[in-house]
Amino acid sequence: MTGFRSSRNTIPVWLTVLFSLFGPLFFSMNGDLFAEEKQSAIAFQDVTDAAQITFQHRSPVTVQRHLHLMMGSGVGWIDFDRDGFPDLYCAQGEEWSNVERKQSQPVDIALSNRLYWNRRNSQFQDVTVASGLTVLNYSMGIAVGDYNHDGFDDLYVSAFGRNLLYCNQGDGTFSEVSSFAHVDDPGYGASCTWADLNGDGLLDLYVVNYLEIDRDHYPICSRRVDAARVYFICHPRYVPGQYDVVYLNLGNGSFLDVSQKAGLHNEPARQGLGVFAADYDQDGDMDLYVANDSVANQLWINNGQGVFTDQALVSGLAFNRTGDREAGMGLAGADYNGDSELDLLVTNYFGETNTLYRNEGALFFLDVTDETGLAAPSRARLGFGTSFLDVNNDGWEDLFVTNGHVHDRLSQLGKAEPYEQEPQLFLNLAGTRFDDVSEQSGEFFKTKQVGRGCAVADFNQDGLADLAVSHLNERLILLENRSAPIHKSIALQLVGTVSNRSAIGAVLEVTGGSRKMTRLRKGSSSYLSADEAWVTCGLGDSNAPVAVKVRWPGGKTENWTGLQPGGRYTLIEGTSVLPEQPPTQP
Amino acid sequence: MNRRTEPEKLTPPFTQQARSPFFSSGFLILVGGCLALFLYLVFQSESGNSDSSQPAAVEQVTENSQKAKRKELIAYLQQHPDDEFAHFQLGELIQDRAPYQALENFSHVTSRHPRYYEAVEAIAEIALEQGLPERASAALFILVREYPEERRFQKSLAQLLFAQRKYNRALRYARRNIELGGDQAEDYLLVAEILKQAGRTIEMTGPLKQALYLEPDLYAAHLNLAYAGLYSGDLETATREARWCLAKKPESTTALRYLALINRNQGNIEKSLAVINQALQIDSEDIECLLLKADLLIYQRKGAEAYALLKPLYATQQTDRRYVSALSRAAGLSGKREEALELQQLNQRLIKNEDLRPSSLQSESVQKTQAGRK
Repeated sequence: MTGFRSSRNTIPVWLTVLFSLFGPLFFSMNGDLFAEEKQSAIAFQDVTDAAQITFQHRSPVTVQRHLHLMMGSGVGWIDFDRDGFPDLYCAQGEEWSNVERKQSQPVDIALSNRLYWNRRNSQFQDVTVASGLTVLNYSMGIAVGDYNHDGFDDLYVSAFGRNLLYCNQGDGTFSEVSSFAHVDDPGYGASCTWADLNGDGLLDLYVVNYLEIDRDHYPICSRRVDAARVYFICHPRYVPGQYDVVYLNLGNGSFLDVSQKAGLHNEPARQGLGVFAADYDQDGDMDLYVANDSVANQLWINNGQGVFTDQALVSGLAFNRTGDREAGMGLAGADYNGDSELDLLVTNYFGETNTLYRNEGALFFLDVTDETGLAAPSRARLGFGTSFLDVNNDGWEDLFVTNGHVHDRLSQLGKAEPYEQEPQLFLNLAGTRFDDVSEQSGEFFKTKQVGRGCAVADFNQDGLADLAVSHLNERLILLENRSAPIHKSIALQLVGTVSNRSAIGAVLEVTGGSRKMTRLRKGSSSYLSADEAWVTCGLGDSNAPVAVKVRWPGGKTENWTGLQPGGRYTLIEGTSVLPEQPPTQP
Repeated sequence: MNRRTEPEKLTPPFTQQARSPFFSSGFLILVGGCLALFLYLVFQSESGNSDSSQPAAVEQVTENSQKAKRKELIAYLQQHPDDEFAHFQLGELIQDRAPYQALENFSHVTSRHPRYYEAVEAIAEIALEQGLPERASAALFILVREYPEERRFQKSLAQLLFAQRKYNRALRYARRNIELGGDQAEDYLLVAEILKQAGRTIEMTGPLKQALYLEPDLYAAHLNLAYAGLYSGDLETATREARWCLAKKPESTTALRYLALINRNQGNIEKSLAVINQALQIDSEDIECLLLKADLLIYQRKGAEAYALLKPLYATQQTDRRYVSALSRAAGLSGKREEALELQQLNQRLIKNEDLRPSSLQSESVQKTQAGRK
């Protein structure tokens, strides 16, 4: 007993000595190692099947490679039942031959756009038919916003053909009001977004149009290779562009096409694909950045009355650093470097880089793609959808890009550019550089696919941003963010009262401890896609109560303080007193 | 024609000479003997040169006979201008001294004639020598069609199309050259360089590695591999190859610039600046290095410095869009917004000019089809 006791007593003595000598080193090493392990523990899991999402995009290629069949369709998050859980809307393609046949055929739901209701248990239910959202067309872009201020988000869907507006009835159903609302532009619609463009507190619509294609005289391109004719989709530069459209919300359920008056026709029509609305010159009104395919991008600066002038050239956003126009597919915007300015990323063609423009303030941007490590990883990819999202809640917005080519038979033309390509995830290293962590982020990132749209939402309310990714002719994938939750986030929903009810365009300044982060309540972005309305903001190391300053569209600011990390809060314009809501995040 | 006529060069006919004592028979025998002895000695002492002197004589004879033949053919063609074989023969005779005329003669040989492809080959050869790329490529296209297995035609055509910036077509023939057995390092290097110029840098690595397998010390292949690695994000390869090049040629501003680019891509901006300054010490007028330095300064928000570096080059560089764009960014960053806009507008104009050039994916045919048809 004594011996045992004494041995028990002696061990702590030498252990104490040892610990006092090497303990700090041991712990610091462990701490570092642990931190590093945690840093790289980014994990996304494909939960599509488990979530019972069965959406399969259909856009079969033709022998003659009709161009629009290669462009794919978007994806959007819409909380149509206002339960706080975002539901998923998937845009569908269409067979070329269906143009003539569909009128006489019964509707096959597999060929329709689909609405998946989030059942809050990480499972979704297809409610397309019940919601009245069955549609057979080649759907492209998605815009989600409450245009009629009834508290329920409505849905606008651009298409290769007539665009559609669905008014949310608030009872789980939608009614198609495109004709009544006069927003059924028949052009080749691409990305579209809601934004209050004339400052009247109502959401207007901006629709990017891609190409002027006459279905009856469809441009088909080919080349003779080794005595055989090889068809490939026409280069957009050889098909005329189509003017974008601005619809002004008249407040009575209808809209007015003011595209010409808004100044959009003061320049030749361009081949637009992506759009990102924000107050770029910080003068209190909404401006628009448009990514154009193979021609100069446009930055439409608003004079406050809904009249725009293109200032992309002088702002440095028309071309890349070498003065080249790029293929402009998708757009993402975020303050990547924490200087409170909105930076922009444009996805581009194979051989080009995706281009990151750093906002220098005073409406001037610099291409910093090479310096931030984004150039080389993107050259051998053709980027489409892209989203900034803070995957590990460290307070720095990371970057997701989905890739896939538009030519599926380049090998026949002697080119070694893959059709299916892996998506990419880049970790933001404290605003200085991006590190490609795709390989370590899950099986999905090792799978070659033909990516098109992508949209961000915390669909399971676990405080981590998740992703939905649409693919051409392939399944839509739901990716659950299963990264080790080192840091907490805060989820914020904005409700405008004076400004538009969806608060699209509001800027949030989130302060947690010593960190100040700027976030934007975005309209649509990426490629043809729409993120959820809630803004999830990672808080980094801070566990201190959070202060939020909201700059509403129009410029008025409000402050909320004492918000708890991990909480979900609805901030209503004009009520800067924190509503009584307990934190819900685990 | 500027050629002298044959009679001008002929010796005058026999002339009557006055008799003299030196022409006695004894004297003639003596002289003949001496001459024979002299010739023997000369022959013995210059036996090494005999090979050259004899063909010279033969050459002279041949030349004379060719001159005669030329004259004959010219005269004949004046009477028979449609005789393709005569044209062919004349072309062959005058190819070296009158290539343009030969080109004209060979052009008279039509595809019905059995010597047609020889004529086409001669046309290709002359056109290449005389810097007539269009005629050369037209001839080579005929030859590669007729002789698809003949490697030299494929290679020549590839080189020609590459020089004409027709990269996709050049690549096809450069690759065919390799398929047919071209196994020199330069064959692979040609493919790599075409890919580089075609903007298909990612595909360069394979042919470059093959070139280096065949010729491990091929400097151009190492330098291109550094570029390919840099471009595709393989910075390890890029660094290794750039250092290899610098070990061989420490004054290479290109290799130094690649090192600077590698550093920039790794986020080491200061280090990148230091390397590019080192390159500029070697060649202060290297435009690529100057542009990179300006780029780095712009990233560091040193707009005025970048502007000061670039502005003096305007007179010589105003048609280089990379330069114009860099100057515009520097101007914009240093508050010269009007100038920045003007420069971007200049860039736009330059783009419009470039658009007149064909795109790599431009269709040979654009049809308009009816709806609903597959």
